[in-house]
Amino acid sequence: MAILSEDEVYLGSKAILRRNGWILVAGQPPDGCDSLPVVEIKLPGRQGIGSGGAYKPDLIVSDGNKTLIVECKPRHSASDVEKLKNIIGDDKRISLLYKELVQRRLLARRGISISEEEFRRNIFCALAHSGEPTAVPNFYMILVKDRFGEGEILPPFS
Amino acid sequence: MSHTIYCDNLIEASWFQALSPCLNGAAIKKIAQRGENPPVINELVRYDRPDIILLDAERPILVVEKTQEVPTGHNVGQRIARLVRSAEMQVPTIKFFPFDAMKHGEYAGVCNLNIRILKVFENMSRIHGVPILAVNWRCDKYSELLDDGTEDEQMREIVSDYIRSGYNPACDAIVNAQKAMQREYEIRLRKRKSYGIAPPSVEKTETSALLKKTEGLARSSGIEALLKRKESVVYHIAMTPDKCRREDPYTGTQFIYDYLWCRNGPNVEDKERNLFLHFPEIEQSYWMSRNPDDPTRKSSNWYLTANAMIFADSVLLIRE
Repeated sequence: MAILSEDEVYLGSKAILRRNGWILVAGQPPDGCDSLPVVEIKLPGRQGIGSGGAYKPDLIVSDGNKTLIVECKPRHSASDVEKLKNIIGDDKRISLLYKELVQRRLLARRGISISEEEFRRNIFCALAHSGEPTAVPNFYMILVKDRFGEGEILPPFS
Repeated sequence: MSHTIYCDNLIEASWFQALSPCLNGAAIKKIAQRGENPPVINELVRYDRPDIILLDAERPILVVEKTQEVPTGHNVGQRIARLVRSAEMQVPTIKFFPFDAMKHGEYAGVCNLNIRILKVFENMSRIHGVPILAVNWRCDKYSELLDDGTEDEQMREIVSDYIRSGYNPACDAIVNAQKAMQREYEIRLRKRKSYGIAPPSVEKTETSALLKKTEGLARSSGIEALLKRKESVVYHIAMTPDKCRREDPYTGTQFIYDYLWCRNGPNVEDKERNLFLHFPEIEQSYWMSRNPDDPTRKSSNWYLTANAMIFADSVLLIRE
């Protein structure tokens, strides 16, 4: 299977997610400027933009109920798995993320209304990449075949 | 028409291509390293790489820069050098960015445009005979950037009208955009009059007085040629030696001040006032070791337009 560039995986992921009913809430491509708002998942106690340890997801998407934090790479990345596990496992960071999305009205402008408790309960990680699929327990996988949206979303398994 | 979109990355190329159905069949290519592109692209990226260069066959017809950042304060100089280059090559140029937007983080608040950039674009357009446009990326009522597609309305109009007109730089959409820029400048200047004068980092002075008060300046070889210009603009840059290995935003900001108060023609020598860059805390030899005038490096941008550099210990004449 062809290995795409990070740009192509990012573009392809957006198209695949949209086609499957996911709403793009925020994101920052690996290079360049997209139209999506950029959101940082901060470390508790450090509030400035670009502060140490802050993480900017490639994509944050929602289907109105579930939220995905998506990392896009040409190939499966074990370090991304660890990074996302650490973030999703940190209640304080997830709480800060929710508060930022609410404060900036980034969910409301998409017609999404969800409590913090529902948000915490239904937040998942997703790895988007090209090449051979590599499933990870409890992770969504977005397999990207081209930048136009050829590909599929594989739901998590336990 | 045979369009090719040269891009810094596919995200921006994809966005740009979607602005007009005229670009549906355009090829997309990434801008390579300096020296490794077709000649016309190499020339356009000589100072820095813009986000988008649109060619029809081998002719550059449009340069576009897109950013989510508001050019406030001294950061107004960021990304300017690449736009100067496209103006010098007489390629119509658009910078698409928010004039006002919320800045997030510890010191959250609404940031507003440094309107000097609008006046600079107007002057560049007049001097180089080509439209240089600032197009506003609008926000919602909470000062969050629009991202539902409506933010691109004006860009779609300009790109489509320009291409359909056969690349007429005076097509309706461009003329309207220029008028909008002028109106925006006038409205904002009324609210903040300080943008109509030089900022604290800039000193306008008589050249003869500058020579008298700057040690070593009068003795510098060739400096008398600068006396032909009665006045000079000095851009005081308070960089320390440990932090002098950089270009942004200073090398762009020098062009801001050049086009505002010095330049009266398309060549860098066409100035009604000299432009001096003043580094009071840096010695020349250290500076040259950290920022050589090497065309293969971005540090060469320091030498693009100023007449001279004044260091803590000496003066370097760059051009008459």
